[in-house]
Amino acid sequence: MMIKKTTLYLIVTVLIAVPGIAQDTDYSFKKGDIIWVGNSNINSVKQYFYNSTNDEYHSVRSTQFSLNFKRISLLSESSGIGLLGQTQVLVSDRYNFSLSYLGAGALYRHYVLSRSKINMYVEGNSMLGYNIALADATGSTESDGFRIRPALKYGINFNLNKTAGLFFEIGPEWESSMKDLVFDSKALRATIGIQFLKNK
Amino acid sequence: MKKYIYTTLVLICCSLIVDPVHAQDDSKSAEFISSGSIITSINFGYLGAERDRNFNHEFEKSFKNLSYDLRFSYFLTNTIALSSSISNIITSRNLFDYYNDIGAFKIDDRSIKLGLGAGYYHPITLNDKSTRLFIEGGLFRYSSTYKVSNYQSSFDKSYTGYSMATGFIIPLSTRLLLNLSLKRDAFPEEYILGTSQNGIYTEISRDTKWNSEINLNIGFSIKF
Repeated sequence: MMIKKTTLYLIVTVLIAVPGIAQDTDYSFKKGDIIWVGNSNINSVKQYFYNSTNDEYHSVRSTQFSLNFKRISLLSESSGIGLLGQTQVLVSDRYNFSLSYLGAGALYRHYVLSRSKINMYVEGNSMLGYNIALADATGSTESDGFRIRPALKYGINFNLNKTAGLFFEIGPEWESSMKDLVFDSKALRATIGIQFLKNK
Repeated sequence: MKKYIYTTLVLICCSLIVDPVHAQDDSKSAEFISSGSIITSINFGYLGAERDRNFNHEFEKSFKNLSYDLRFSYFLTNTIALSSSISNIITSRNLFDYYNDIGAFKIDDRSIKLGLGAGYYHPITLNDKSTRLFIEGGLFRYSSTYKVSNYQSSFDKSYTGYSMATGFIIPLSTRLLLNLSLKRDAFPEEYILGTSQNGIYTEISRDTKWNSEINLNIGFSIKF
């Protein structure tokens, strides 16, 4: 309930505060524009552990690769379709194991408010993935199988110029195994990031 | 009420910052960075999730995770910049009552990393585009707390390390920059060995080892 109130408050405040922005340059979205959001990261950690068998310290390395993205093609000034994907691979030589998940899906986005520098949108998307495990905080599960994750998003973005913008997005997600389609996991996710606009 | 006033001020400040009155697309400008420029990167994420079934000792019944990182670089001259960064991760997990002797329990895990550094940004040209090759060095302070509710205890860790980084900054427009960075952090960690007999703990040795972390990242930054 508190989250709903805060979200509503944020939306109202932004609506009040932002119209002061000058409208001297047209940064409106055009049909055919492509929006990219995402990042990629490789992280490798070296640590030590004590081996009591031979009374020595051994170094171990864990390496993690992660990638997530959204690509949206605008069909008109107020709507677009796109793809989303995310993957993560973790390899550790201490236990000689690897954990990974992979998900990909499609989305539809509709802009309910389209101004030159501010856009508000609602988005529906669905992702099919292996080991994506929405309700697993530590990513420790190895056998979560194929699952499906539909989501609704409400977002706002501020265009800094014709190619760059900041966005804030929030919305619920649900997840089910593909076997029985019972949605046993649910979540609320919020994100702030930078988006890249490729003009037609 | 204070929280709402604070939020309002932050949002108004954000609105003023993102006001693109001065923005002009001129990504081929020879001096896309100059004395007084500020480069910022921002990431924020929140996820609160819960599961109705199939949870076991691995799965949480529910959890909340909040993470963000902010980084600022201020250019003293056209090529020399000071930078500061903050990275914070807060996770709270409610675990299933798997071990009957201790019951359901909650784990709070939080960490914060503060960094300060300086860098040299050498102007080069790649594909007719003005780009910067940078090298950077600095110090950081890391602190973390891991608290398990049923044990009424917490495990704290903190250390000071150093970092080195290199990479490219490529302008995509006047305000949007693409970052390619390779960074190495090094930090000391104390390993304590001991034995416990009849409830009496005896320390055998204490060694300090230098751990390291290498990070290759591709992301966006904004210039103000």
